Formats: sequence, structure tokens, C-alpha cells
Amino acid sequence: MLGPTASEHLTILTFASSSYLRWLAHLHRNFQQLRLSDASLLVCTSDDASRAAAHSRDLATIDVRDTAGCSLCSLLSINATATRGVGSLGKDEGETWGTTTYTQIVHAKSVCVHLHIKRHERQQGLLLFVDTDVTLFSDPRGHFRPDADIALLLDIGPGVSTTGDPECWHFNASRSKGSYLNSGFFLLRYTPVIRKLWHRMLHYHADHPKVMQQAALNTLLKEDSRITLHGLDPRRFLSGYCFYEQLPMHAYAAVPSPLRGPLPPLSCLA
Amino acid sequence: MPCLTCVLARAGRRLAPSTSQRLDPDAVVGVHHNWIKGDLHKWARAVETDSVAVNDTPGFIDRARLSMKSGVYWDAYEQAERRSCDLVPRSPPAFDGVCRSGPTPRLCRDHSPVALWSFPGTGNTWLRLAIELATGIVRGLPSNPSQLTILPELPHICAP
Repeated sequence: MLGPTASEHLTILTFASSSYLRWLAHLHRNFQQLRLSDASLLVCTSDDASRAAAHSRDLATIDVRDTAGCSLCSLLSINATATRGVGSLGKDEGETWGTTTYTQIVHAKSVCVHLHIKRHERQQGLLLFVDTDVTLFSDPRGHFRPDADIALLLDIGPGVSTTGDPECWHFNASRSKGSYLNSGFFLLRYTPVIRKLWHRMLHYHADHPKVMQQAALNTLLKEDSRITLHGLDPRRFLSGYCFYEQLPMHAYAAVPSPLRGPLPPLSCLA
Repeated sequence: MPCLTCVLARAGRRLAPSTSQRLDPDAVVGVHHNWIKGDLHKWARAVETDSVAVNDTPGFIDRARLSMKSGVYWDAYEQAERRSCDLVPRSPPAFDGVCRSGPTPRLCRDHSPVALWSFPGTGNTWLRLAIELATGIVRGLPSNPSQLTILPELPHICAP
């Protein structure tokens, strides 16, 4: 059952690079087929290819290379990283997770959110930030508590739970470790504490260039008691680990061989 | 008498989820396709599970949900809960070394075959004989161990 937030305007913001063009196309089709009322899709582009792809779909864009009016943004060298990180790689294959270049690229996501918030000072409603490799099956607004500033997907996977297997069903934050609040799927309100949060994120990136964006976001969120946050229900908002590896939904979880795919029915001849 | 083949089948499968761990595909609002190493691999998995819209044909959301609901593992789990294994064949066992024509006993019908791995000298021949006597179904093992790799594709337990 949808709550009162279901009627608020929803801006869906994503971050695209030339390595993720088909994911961008998917997200756009996904958005179109959901037919959400009072919602719009906005794309942060990090290079010419992603910008052209977004424009070809008549999508509004924010170019993270254009940091005019944001002195903090220029500290992060987004121009250089966005170009170098994408140009040297083959199509559809992004930068490897954890590398310095990858870290710099994901810092650009913070610039993306900050630029959007900064340029929409009177913005009302809700913002859903998603990485392009996200699929939406229904309207998320009803699952955002009215009193919350931000709600994030719980990034459940190996290493998160201190009790052994990751807890895809009954997630217990007190028994979890690491940065389990996902920085690639969250809902927020344009509240003063949230506006300050993304300003502080840029400072944090500048001061800690080797810390990835998700770790930085988790650190700042856990430090700031003024922010009301909650984790999105992991039975409704799934990490890739829970969706593909843990939950009994796909052929990959079947025996005897996960590579075989569906097995034909077995029966004796009559 | 316990359903031996069902026990064996269950032993070969990942642990089935408890009722409280059952996912309701209709409840899923969003999925982040992260935690998958390699962007090409990530895309391939998402496509194979109908989790992404690869073209503009309408009805993507419905197809994606349908795909979730019809996952193989779900089917196996559901059947494991409700199927009946006919250890008592419809006709009396008539074990004489070959399968006879006529009504064929069912053995966990529509369930994947399961390999029972063992080493020479551990009694596997006797166990196989016991299973054959108990079920009335003869299934000779391939003499070449490499043939075991095609086990899931063996179409029938009994040939007429």
C-alpha cells in the first residue's frame, strides 16, 4: 500500500558514461514502460558519447564536466578522469572496480547529485538516484517514509554480515559491517541536511581521494545524527548478490549444473 | 519406507528456502545489478533472466516478473513440496534385468536426475542393486566415467 509520498513529484537521476550506454537505454525503456505519474528522468553525463545518447532520447542532462558555479567540483578533477577513464576502454566494459580511476569516476556521481541539488534550490518532491544498471519494477515512492531524509538500498553481499551468510531477508544492521548503504540506489528529499550532506561529500572526496564514494557516503551518514535515514526493505529492493546468487528465483540457483540452464522434464516412457 | 530417491535428490540440491525466505516476485520494486564481476557478464546475466529491457517492445515489466516467477529453482522447489514419488509402481516390480513394456513406474516424475558419486569398493554396486530392486527400474551406469557429464541430458530412466 502506497503512503503519502506516492503523490510527490519524483525526479529520477542517473549517471552515465560511454561504457554504460546500453544500460542507459534500458533504464530509459524501463522508465517509459513503468509510466510513472509525475516523474521525470534526468541524466548526468560524463563524456560526449553519453551526452549524445541521452540527447538522442530527448532526456534532460547535466554534464558533470561543466562545473561552473561549483568551486568544490573542480577540486575533484572530473574533467580529466571522465575522459581518461572511458576513452581507454572498450565499449560496454567499464573501469575495473576499486582502481584509482574507478574511484575518481564514482566521485563524479557525487558531483552529479550535488550539481542537481545546487541548481534546484527550490526543488520539491523526491529524488531517486540510481546507477544505470538498475531495473525498476514499480513506483518506489510509497516505500519512502514520510519522515525520512534519505533511504538507501541495502547493499547486501559477502562480507557484509558478521554472522556468516549475508542476510538477504532479515537484515540486521547491528550485525553488519562495512559500507552496506548503497550509493547507487537511494531516495532523498531536498531537505537542508541533505543539501549539506552532498556539499560535505565533495569536501570528503577532496580530502580523501582514495576513498570510494559509497564508503564516503556511509561514513558521513553514520556521523550525522541530524539526518533521518532508513534502509529500503531488502525484500523489495535487491542488491545484485541477493537477486542473482541468494534468492531462489533463477536458473542459476538450480542443480546439477548452473551453466546448463533449464533441464528438460524427466519421465519414463509410457 | 522413505522416498529414497527423493532423499538423494534433495541431497544434491541447494538447500531450499524456508517459507519465510520465499521471495514474492510481485513485491520486488527495484534491483541493482551490482556484485557481478565484469560488465559484459553482468549484462549477459541480466538479459538471460529477462531483467533488462533490450528493445522497445511493450510489456517488459510483465515479462520480467513472469521470468522471476518461472525460475527453474522455483519449479523444482514447488515440486519437491508436493510431488509424490511412486516407490510402489503401478504394476508389481518385475525385475529381470530389463525394463518391461507396459505401465512404467514413475520415479520422481519431472524431477532432475541426481548423480550419486562414490568410489570403487564402497558398495555402490550393492546400493544400485538395492535401488533397482526397490523401484523396479533399471538404469545401467555408463562404463566410461566421462559419460557421467551428460547425465542430466539422459532422457529417460527406462527405455521400452
